[in-house]
Amino acid sequence: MQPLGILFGAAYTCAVSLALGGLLLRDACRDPGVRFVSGAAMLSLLVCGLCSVGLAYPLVFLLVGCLAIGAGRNAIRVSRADVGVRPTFAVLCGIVFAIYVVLYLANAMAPEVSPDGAGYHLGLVARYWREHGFVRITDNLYAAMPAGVEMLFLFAFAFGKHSAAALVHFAFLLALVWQLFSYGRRRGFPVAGASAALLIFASPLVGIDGTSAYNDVAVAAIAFTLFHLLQIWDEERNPRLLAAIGLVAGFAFAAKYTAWPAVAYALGFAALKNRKAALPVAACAAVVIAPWLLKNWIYLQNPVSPFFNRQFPNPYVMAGFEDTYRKVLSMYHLKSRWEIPLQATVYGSLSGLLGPVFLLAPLGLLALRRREGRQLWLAALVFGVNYFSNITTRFLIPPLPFVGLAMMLALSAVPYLSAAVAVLSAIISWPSIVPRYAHGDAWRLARIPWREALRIRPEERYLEAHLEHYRADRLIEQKTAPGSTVFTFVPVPEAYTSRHIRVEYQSAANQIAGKILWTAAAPEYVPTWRLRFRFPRQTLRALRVVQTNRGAEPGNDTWSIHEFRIYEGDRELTRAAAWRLTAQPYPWSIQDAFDNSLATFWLCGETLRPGQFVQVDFHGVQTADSVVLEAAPNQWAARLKLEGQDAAGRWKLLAGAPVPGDAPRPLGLRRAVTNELKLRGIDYLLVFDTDNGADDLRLNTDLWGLRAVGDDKGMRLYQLL
Amino acid sequence: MCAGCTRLPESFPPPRQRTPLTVPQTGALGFFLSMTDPNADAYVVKDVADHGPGTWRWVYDHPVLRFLIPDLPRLKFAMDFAIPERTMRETGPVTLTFTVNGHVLDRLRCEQPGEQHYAHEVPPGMLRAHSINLVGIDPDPVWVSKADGGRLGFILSRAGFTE
Repeated sequence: MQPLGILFGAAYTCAVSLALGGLLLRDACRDPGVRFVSGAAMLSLLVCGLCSVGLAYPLVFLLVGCLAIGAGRNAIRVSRADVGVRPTFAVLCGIVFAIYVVLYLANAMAPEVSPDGAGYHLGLVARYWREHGFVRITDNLYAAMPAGVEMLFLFAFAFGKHSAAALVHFAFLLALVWQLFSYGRRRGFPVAGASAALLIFASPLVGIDGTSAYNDVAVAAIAFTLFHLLQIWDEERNPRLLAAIGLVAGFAFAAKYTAWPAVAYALGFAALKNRKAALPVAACAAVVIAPWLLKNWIYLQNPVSPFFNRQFPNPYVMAGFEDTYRKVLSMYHLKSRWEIPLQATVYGSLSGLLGPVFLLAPLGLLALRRREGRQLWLAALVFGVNYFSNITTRFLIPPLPFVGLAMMLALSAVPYLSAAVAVLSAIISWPSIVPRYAHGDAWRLARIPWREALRIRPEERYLEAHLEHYRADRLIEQKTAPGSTVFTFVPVPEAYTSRHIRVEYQSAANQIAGKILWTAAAPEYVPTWRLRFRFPRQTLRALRVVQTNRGAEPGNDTWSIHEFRIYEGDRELTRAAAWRLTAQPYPWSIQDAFDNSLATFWLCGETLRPGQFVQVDFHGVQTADSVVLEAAPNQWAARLKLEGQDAAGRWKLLAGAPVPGDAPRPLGLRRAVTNELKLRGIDYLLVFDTDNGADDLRLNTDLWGLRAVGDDKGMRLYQLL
Repeated sequence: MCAGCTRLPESFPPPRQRTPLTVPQTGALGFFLSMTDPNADAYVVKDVADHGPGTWRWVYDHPVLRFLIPDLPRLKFAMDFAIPERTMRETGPVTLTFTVNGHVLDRLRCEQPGEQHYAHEVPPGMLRAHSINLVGIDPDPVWVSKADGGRLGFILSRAGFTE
């Protein structure tokens, strides 16, 4: 029964998308690929609307889908058409395609084992499904990414769970390669079109991405559909196409932030040809984009979260984290960007390989002699413009179809050459051939798992063998109470657990929780530093500690304060309710420096920069002669001075630098940390042996106030008592 | 997009104050001695040099320290110390005998000179909560000056109880 559910979920989603696309386009475009993607944009918007009002139920999806199919049933019928190429080539192409379809279908239907698919793409889909719609998620930055494609996954997930979602992504791959061919045929180069379709279809990375619950291939299909629609509109100027162009351009943004140039491209293209055409395109694009911006604005105070946190300051993602995140994504482990061409095409250590044939991509520049070639390269530039913001090879998939078609267009000048190159590419991209030249860590398909696809072999064994940390999910499911929150430094496949997982790097609150844990587990985080500022006894209205240094190491050179104490002689001033505390940057945790707890702290959240400060306004006057900062010794680069505001309201320097001193490690710190984590909503800790502090947790479980509830191959699960 | 622009919160009042953790109070006897502490003398019972450069002091034949211990389930005695190469060259390996309230806690044989960290769990029965506890650390052998007969044990930086 399970395979039927999977197939139904995916087929139903595709049918509804096709029907909606047919209703939208009617006779303006009968291409099934264009209709599917255009309809998918509408269905995505519809599901987004249902999630917004908490109506993500199977019956609602069934009703909505049936209505759409009923209204647009004619669109689902695909008419036979002359393929426009020689029968021998058509047969050869057909055979190669069919072989790859078997490979891809089996992998898409097999249990979902992709890291991001089983991690957050479907992890969030499963959460929305359990909650019957959107919920405010502030501790997972991936929940802030637009989820246009995931809305379709959710529609399929309702009936066929994880594999149905992966099959929907596969449908985008089919829509893409079909359109490569159909566009080529329409423009009079069917062989180049078919060759490009085969080249893209057989690419090892496109294959594994397009059969997983990812969204890169979907973005590529959306990008090509937009290009295709614009080309058709340019020829026919049918106003009905403008709505589809706008929706698909908006859908690109709704699928992935990095596809935002689609909107500029559509608007620019339309405006260039007919200024009035830009308005409906913009309006339709806005309809699809707006919900995602609004959702983030309402939930996270930042419409484009998790990015641009300096422009839209918020407590949920620290700007310092964003800097580090961007830096990591822009280089990964590479020493030079000159490594990218070989890594992306042959070796695959940047999350997969496109295939060695793409080393010939520069040949595609020969296609610039033709108008179609120039259009293709323009689109390739538009959809590749953001590549260097994340250099994993996946981010080359959206411009890839344009480059592939331009290559084949250029090669088609020599008879049979484009077809020969495409077939050669398909041969050397087969899973058993790829390991001969790719690196061992390249993300790729390995075989045809047909028994697993049909669930003849149990899902569990396949997941355990192929999905990293799947056993952590099983441990969590077995040992924790329903509704529990589990904190971990290492992401686990959230799609296979119903518990609330909080991963350290995925939000400011989680990062702070992680550092609170280290406060008692890692010596450099223990608050044993005492920085004392002494100054002549005087009456003050406010005090502030100002940081004056510039950090050399983004993300690492930062500062924090566990407690900010003000003294008159030996007497600490009582923190009065009238006092007002603030900090710049990250003011949201400033109260943690004034709560009398050494387990908590204010964290700057950014790399050291002159002018950052923590300030206490007495809302009156207080007499004081010293300030003591209790802090951790892991902030050697910070340079602090103390300023005070006198009774006349003037700020003046009170002490140019503190006198540093040491204090012993406080007793009961571990227990205080556990209590603090509990207060912050954490019920369990999943700790891997390689985590910082893992040994201390294992050896001093009782001092932490924890109970070890289970362990499995290098990981332990602790309950907070 | 502009609607998304949010102003930073102006300020916050002090939050509810938590029960403080156990830390030694300035000027009072506690559970941990650092030679940087101006109040270090309060921890010394005998055989510790009156002065040092500020971060460490010599101890002699039978140093004894005192600590005020809170009531906690599992405590370790920890110490940061050093045996200079010059003295060890003459004494050979040095054995430190640790006693807590007159009971032998542990013996540590130091065969290498230089800075060292020592930590050893203390059986709960050995300690008296909320009262003075005496810790002796006897070095054997001690270094004896050929010039004036002065006797030096080791260099003590920090010592006390931790979890």
